[in-house]
Order: sequence, then structure tokens, then C-alpha cells
Amino acid sequence: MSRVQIRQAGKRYAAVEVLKGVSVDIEDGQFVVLVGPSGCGKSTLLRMIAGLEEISSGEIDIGGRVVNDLQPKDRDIAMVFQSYALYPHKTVADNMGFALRLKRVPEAEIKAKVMRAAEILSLTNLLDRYPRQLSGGQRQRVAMGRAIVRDPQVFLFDEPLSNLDAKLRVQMRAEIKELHQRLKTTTIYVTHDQVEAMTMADKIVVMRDGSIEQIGTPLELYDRPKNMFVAGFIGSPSMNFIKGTMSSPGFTTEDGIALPTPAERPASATVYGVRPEHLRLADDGIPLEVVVLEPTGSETIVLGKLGKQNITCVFRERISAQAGSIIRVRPDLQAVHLFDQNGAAIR
Amino acid sequence: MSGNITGRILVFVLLCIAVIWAFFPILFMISSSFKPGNLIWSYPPKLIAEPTFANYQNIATLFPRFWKSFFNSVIVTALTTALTLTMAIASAFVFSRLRQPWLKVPAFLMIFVRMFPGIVVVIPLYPVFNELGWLDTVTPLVLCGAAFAVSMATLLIKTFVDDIPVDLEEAAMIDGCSRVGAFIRITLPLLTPAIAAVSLVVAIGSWNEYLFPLVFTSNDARTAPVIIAIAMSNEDGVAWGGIMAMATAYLAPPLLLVLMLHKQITNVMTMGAVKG
Ligand SMILES: Nc1ncnc2c1ncn2[C@@H]1O[C@H](COP(=O)(O)OP(=O)(O)OP(=O)(O)O)[C@@H](O)[C@H]1O
Ligand SMILES: [Mg+2]
Repeated sequence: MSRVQIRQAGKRYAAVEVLKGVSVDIEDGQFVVLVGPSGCGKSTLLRMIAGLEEISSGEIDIGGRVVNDLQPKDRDIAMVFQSYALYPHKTVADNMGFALRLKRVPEAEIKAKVMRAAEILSLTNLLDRYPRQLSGGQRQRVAMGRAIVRDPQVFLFDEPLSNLDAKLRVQMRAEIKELHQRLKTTTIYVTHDQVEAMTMADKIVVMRDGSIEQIGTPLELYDRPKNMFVAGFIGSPSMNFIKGTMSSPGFTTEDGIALPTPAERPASATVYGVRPEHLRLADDGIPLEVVVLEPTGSETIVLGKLGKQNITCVFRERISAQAGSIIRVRPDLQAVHLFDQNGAAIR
Repeated sequence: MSGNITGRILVFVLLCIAVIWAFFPILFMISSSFKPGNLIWSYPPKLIAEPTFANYQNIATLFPRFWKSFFNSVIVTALTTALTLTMAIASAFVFSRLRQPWLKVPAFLMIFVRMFPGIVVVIPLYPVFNELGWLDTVTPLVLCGAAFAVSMATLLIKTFVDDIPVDLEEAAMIDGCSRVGAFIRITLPLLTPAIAAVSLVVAIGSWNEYLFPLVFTSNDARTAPVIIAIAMSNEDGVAWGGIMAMATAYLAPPLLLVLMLHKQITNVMTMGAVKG
């Protein structure tokens, strides 16, 4: 367990700057998720922390020690790879014990530690198998077992669940979270799945194009996104962005429809943001033409048009509108976001 | 249906002919080596009635330098193979794992050297080896053999290394290995079948090498192929029984090697299964 500080860490491959000086402070025992679209540099940052990728500029500090020039083996970290990277010619037990064996830990102790990890992960009856004899979920567990037997200062995960089917992913998500609550080891977890980020993280780091867009708790990011990118990235279905202009009576869409507007009315607002779940049915609401209706049972998703702009709504109640019919919706004013023309949040 | 059967029979017959065509000389050689010399060319050919080891016993008297050359061949082949494989594995690691632009230069040089006909290389090397006092020792045979074999061996092994996910080595580095340590502990064991296959190719090439021993050795370090060839051109008439025995003895080590490595080599076919 320990604190990880990333100070202005940058990475360039020849002429391409892949990470543009990012800083993150991860407290002892925290579960931090790095999230962002493909190619934004999440894996690169994680691999720099692991020591698998050189740090071009800046500093990374693990437990009070600058690790820039340390080999991966000297950083006291453990990593779970997307491919699991289990050693094919070693049994599950030998995979998990490999790191301890390299450290010349006495055999009896290795055995005990492997056994304890196997119990935590329900792998006890698979210890003599080879990786090729395991299912995807079991391999995933072995990869985690290999990390936890070492009792490292930091766990690193790079999209560990992306090779699993949807159901198993939800289950393993809960298992990883439970494991973290039990071991309380500082964890850095990379994913491009915002649901994973929201459900697992103490703190989320949203990245785009090699920079950090925002750092915060899941709810902070949901409630107070700093810009349209974060607003659109966090939450599912994503936030509706309605283009228009602000004047003293309120926000008017490009099609000239007046929207209910919070009291604060900055003239620079050009985008009105509201999440699908913050639109309610209301008789005096704004008119929305239904394009597609998607009942999921627990909720109803309506894809509609406000003038020419697409709007998504999620309703708790079941509604029986037809495609082409008009429903009236009203945004929750507390939850309305306003953005300026650069996409920065004003409110 | 009947056409199908005719077709199959035809294929079968053709295969038989091909096999006989390929194996006849070898079978003839082996069976002759166990016949008394006067029966080898008898017509109609006799199957071995009473196998005799006389030809083998006579090798030492007929060709006094053969067993020594056989031993030299074993030494040269073993050393060449070991040296080639060591270099090939190390350079396969470098070429496969360190993807750096400047590596194109040594990669090109490796292929370039292979391009020279052996006889061209021999000419400038002769005075050099002479100066070094290496003529008629196994040293130039091993060095030249390895220099020629290493490019192909590297190329082959590199393709196998490429197939082994680098994640495995990275995981090992995090688990506590150095970079080279990770390669040795994790990747190398997974390469065993590939190494066996490439060793076989290199060993057989070296075992059959004719030019280098012909030029660089005269007596002490002569290898078997040269001795056998010289025996064939004996002016006093060729002692066929002895030659057949010698050739059969010469064939034995590669056969043994194939049998020993056969299991590993068939594993090469399934190496793709390593993933995941
Ligand atoms: N060896 C390299 N040379 C040049 N560019 C590279 C190299 N490795 C990665 N990149 C670039 O760095 C950027 C970040 O890559 P990275 O793997 O960190 O993305 P990521 O956020 O993990 O994406 P994903 O979600 O797809 O895994 C990408 O644009 C990629 O093309
Ligand atoms: Mg990645």
C-alpha cells in the first residue's frame, strides 16, 4: 500500500507526443480508474508506472520513491494484463508462485501464500492445471492471483475484463471491487468502459488525446463535468447537447424553441446539456417528436427530435407513444448544464 | 465410384514408385553394407542371406582415416550447431523484441554474408587461417559453418519468437526478472520445439559440409564426407563393401538425431496453441 504521485509525466515516440505532461495524485489505498477513448494514452501511462515504458519527461513517485530509473522488478508493483499473460508452460500454482520463487522465498511460505490467494479467488481445485485448460474467467482469476500473492505496493490493471462476456464482466467487476475492499491496496485500473469506471472507482481520471480532462469522484464527474467531453463520456446514454443561443428570457434552440432555463443566464452559453434521465414527462413541457421507442422493461428509452436536433430520454414509467407522435418533456432545472462555444462548462 | 477407386489405386502406385525411387539408393546402400563384397553386384540381386559385419570390420584397415574423420565430423557438427543456435537465439531476441530502426543494418549484413558462394569466401580466408595457425584444425570449420548457418537460423527462430506474446516477458519482468532473464525463463522454454527443429537443420547442414573441410584441412581435422569422397576415387579399384559400410555409418547420426528430435519437431506444428 502506498501513495502514487504522477508529476507532469510525458511520453513521446519520436515526433509524436502521446502523453502531454499529466499529473495525478493517488492516495494510499485508493482505487483510481483511468478512462478515456481508445488511443488516449491510458495504457501508456499505466505502462510507464509499471516501468515497461520509459518516462520521457516528468516524474513518477511510488511510496515516496521516484521510480523513473527503476526496473519494473524493483518498483514493487503487480500488473494484470488484458491478455492475462499467464505463463503457458507453468501450472496455475507455479504461475502464482513465480514472483516469490524469484525472490527466493522459502518453498513452504510460497505454498502457503499461493494457497491463501487461491482460496480468496476460489482457485483451489485448479492449482495443478495449465492455463490452456482454464476458461476465460478462471484465467482472469489466476492473473489476479499472481498479482495478490506478491502483496505489492500497487496493483495495476489494464482492461482486465475486456475479454470476458458481458455477464462475467459484471461478476468480475464486483469481485475486483470486493478484493480491493479486503486488501486495501492502492489500485490503478485502466478501462475505456465508463460504466466500469463509475462502479469501481474512488476516483476517476478522464483522459483524451494524452491529456487529463478531469479528475474526480464518479458523482463529481456526473454532476459537475468540466466540459462537454467529460459530460458526454460519463453517463449512459450520454448527455443531450442542444445547440442554441442564450438571451435574457432564456435559452432558445437553433430551431427557435425556447427551453426552460435556470435563473443564471450567461450570454456565452451556446450549448444546453441535459442528461436523458433528467427529462420528465410533463403536459406543459417542450414538444418532442418520437423517432424510436426502446422499452427495456425497467425503463423506456425514447429517441426523439427537438426541431432538427436529436434528443434521448430515459423514463422510469412505461409510455405508449408511437413513432411520429409528439410527447412533452420537461428538464429538471437543477440538472441542466450550460457550455460555451469551446465546450467548457459554465454551469 | 469405380473411377474413384481407379484414381486411388493410381495415386497409390505412383506414391509407391516415388518412395522406392527415393529410398532405393539408401536401401541398396544399407543392404549392401551387410553383404560380402562379391555379392553386391550379383544379378539377380540377393536379399541378405547371411548378414555380415565384415565390411564394417574392414573399414579400419581399408580406410584408416575414416573413424578419426567420423569423430571430427561429430565434433564439428556439435560445436557448429551449438555456436549457431546460441548466436541465432540471441539475435532473434534482439531482432524480435527491440524494434529499432538501426537494426536493419545488421539484419541486412546477416543476409548479405549468406549470399556469398562458399568458395568465394574460402579464398581470402585461407591465408588468414594460415597465419593464425588454424589450418587443419576444427576451428575454421566451426566458425565458417556457423557464419553461414546463423542467418537462416536467426530468421527461423525470430518468426517463432514473434509468435510468443511479449506480454509474457513483460509479466515476468514485473514478477522480478530482468529483461534478458524474462526471455530466458519464459520465452526460451516455449521455444524448445523451434530450437529442436532449427538445430536439426543446422546439424544436418554441418554434417554434410564438404567445401570447408576440403580446403581448410589436410589430415588431422578432415571430416567424413571428404574421406568418403576420396575413397571413391581410389585408383586401385573401389572397395565397394567397405564404402557402403562407411556410408551407412555416416548416415546413422543424422537418422538418430531425427528420431531423437522427432517428437519436439512435430510440436512445432502446434506452437500456435501457446497463445491465450
Ligand atoms: N510504439 C509506439 N510508437 C508510436 N506510437 C505509439 C506506440 N505505442 C502507442 N502509440 C500511440 O500512443 C497512443 C496511446 O496509446 P495507448 O495504448 O496508451 O492507448 P489506450 O488509451 O490504451 O487505448 P486503448 O483503449 O485502445 O487500449 C496511441 O495513439 C498509439 O497510437
Ligand atoms: Mg490500452
